[in-house]
Amino acid sequence: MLKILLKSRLLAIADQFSGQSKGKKAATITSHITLIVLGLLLMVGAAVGVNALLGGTVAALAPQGLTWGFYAAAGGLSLIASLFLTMFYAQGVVFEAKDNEMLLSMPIPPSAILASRIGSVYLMNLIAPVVIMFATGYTVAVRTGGISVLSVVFLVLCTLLLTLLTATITCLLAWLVSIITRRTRKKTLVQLLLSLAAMGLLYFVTSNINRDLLASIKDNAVSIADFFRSKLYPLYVMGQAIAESSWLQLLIFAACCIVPFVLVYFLLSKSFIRIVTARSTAAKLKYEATSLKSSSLVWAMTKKDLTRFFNSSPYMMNAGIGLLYTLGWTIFNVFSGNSVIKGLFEQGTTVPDAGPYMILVSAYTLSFFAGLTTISGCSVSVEGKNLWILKSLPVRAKGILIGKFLSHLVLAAPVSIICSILYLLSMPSPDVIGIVTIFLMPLAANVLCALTGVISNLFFGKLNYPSIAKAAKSSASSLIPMLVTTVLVVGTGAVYLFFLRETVSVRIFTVAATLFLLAVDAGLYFFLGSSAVQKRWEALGNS
Amino acid sequence: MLQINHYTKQYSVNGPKAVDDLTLHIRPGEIYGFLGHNGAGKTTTIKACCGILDFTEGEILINGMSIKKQPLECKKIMAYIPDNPDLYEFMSGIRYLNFIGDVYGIPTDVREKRIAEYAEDMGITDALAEKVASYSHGMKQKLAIVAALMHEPKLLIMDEPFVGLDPKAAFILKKFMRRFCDNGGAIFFSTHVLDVAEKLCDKIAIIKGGKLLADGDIETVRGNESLEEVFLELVDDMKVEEENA
Repeated sequence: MLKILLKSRLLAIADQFSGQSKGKKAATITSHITLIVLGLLLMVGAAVGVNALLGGTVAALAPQGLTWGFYAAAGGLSLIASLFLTMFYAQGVVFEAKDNEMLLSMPIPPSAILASRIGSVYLMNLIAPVVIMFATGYTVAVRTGGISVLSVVFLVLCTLLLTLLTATITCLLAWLVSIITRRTRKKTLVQLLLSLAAMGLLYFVTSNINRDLLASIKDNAVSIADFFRSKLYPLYVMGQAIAESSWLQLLIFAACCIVPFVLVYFLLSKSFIRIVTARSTAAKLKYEATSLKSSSLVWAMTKKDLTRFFNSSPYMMNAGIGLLYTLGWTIFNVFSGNSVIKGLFEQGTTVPDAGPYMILVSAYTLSFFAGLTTISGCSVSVEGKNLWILKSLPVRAKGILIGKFLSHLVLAAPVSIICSILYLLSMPSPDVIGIVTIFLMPLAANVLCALTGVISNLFFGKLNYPSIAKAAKSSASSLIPMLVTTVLVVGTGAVYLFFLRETVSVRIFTVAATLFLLAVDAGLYFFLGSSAVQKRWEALGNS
Repeated sequence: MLQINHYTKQYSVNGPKAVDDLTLHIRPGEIYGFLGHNGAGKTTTIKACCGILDFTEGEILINGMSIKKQPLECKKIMAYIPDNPDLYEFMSGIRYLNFIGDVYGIPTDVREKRIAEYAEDMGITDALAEKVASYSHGMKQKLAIVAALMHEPKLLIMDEPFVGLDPKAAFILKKFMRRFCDNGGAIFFSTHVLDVAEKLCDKIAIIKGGKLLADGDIETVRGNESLEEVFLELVDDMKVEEENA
């Protein structure tokens, strides 16, 4: 029974990545092969990247017997990355799966259902440790003249054991999140805050595992070893086990991973039925009639799409994270002493006629970041099962799609304007053209991204995603607006740098680039009202 | 009110015909039942009538207007209730109804009055502040019905409207359907429940494998037998014909 359940979970995971649920066999095989190739490329890319960034430090640490610290840090990073990537997956698949009650009604022991669920969580948790630990092992091997076969075996065993530990912690946290979200009406907010906290932690760790940290391991080997031993003992023994191929350390690490897993499994299997059949304890709201406010058709559509966005933490995290990056990077660029742009601006104050260059750099930086927000890029896909509503209403495609475009812009434009103001405040008295350009160019880039997102999702997006979260995470057409915006923004900049720098002044070029983006925006906007778009909309869901 | 003339639907060019040369006329004041097994072509036909699904051949007219050529005008005077109402789960019930009100341009005082009346009839007033995600299937069905009635359509097209409704809501819906048609509206709905069709419908059509087996006044189709007997005889006859062919 457990084998059957595990197989079904495995197929579900494969389908989730390949996007093939009931496709033709050949297409399924092709997508699975593509998936494997992409996975291998990710591993190779990570290995090359880690070697390039940290290889020198590892080479310096190895002769002093401190390679374990590198493995321990990699283990810590794997753990946090796994939590970030799989916590809500675990919540959905273990505690809130829609087929839990159906399976419980069958002659299957709850422990077997739970084992299959945790099995799939384990498989999902494997991704980060495999990529990170492989990259770590590769870097050590390259920088220390190779590692023994036994070390490779230890690395593999420790990666598998570490994943058991991450899966255990993931399940515990997912259980906690499940309990919290059942007791509150602010489920989306809780999920969003937890996602941001996990992302912040991941960002903090990755930005601190750099040369400085590893160098501090070298300088303060004893105190850092004490820290790992006392606070992060499992990672300490894991690092020691791999670096020294120590069976004893491996056994201790195995105990550190297996004992908590068994305890958590036992605890969850004893209360599995109660957990998965628990109802929400949040108080029900009773409707009291109030006067309703009417909206125009387009604004009603926009509000509908905004409501959908703000009620899905995966949608916000996947499609709206660019807004956070834009704001974060602007604050960093304007206020941080480590910022290259701030340095340039400070130098620019002493150079005559540097103003237009500052405008150019600011406008281009913000325009580049506009491509990272992909709210509209999955806005058609997220309609999914709700598509019948829009198709049965007396509304033209243009009205619906403009609503989607505006829902993107309503969020992106204020962030863009705030960031433009911050850049403006950090530079000495720009002229009127400069001020207009620094606002207009990033706004034009945001409009471009929003319009390209709607159009690409309409023409290339899938509609058969089972949920908004899945559509927001998996919609490949979200990449198109990102790519188009980046190519157009970077492309115009490259044209200037390589061909026009000598002949066209930077002020004229910035204005021309802004006008170019606005012209593309206008073309795309008119295209939204075209018969091709209307026909495509009518064809949606016809097969 | 609804004229389906030689309607044919093929999902792929060389594939079988999901519905083949179907012709039905539904007049104002009629409750028209559409009967058939699962996969007979009922939902395909209904979706085409609502302008959700394109079709291969034929013509569908709503109040004399073609659903292909004047879809917006047609949709303004009709409403569709699907068999599985996948509504916007991220909205509260009242927000969903207000959204529908915005789309149809219903004045706020009118929409408030209609929401109060229809939601009370369906027994979902208290739940309107809750998100649709927390609704049961029956409550979603009731909300879809209230939303469909808000712009006071002349034609109601419903796919299995009684599925998931509790007895009280089903009773209210049946009474409403009768009153709606007595006031000049027309209803075209599919159902598996032959008892409901027999008691409620003025006319029925029976479809199997995309082909119309019988249609007309319920008394004419039924004759001296029960609708259940007629339905099973017709469907079995066709099965035998298919096997012989």
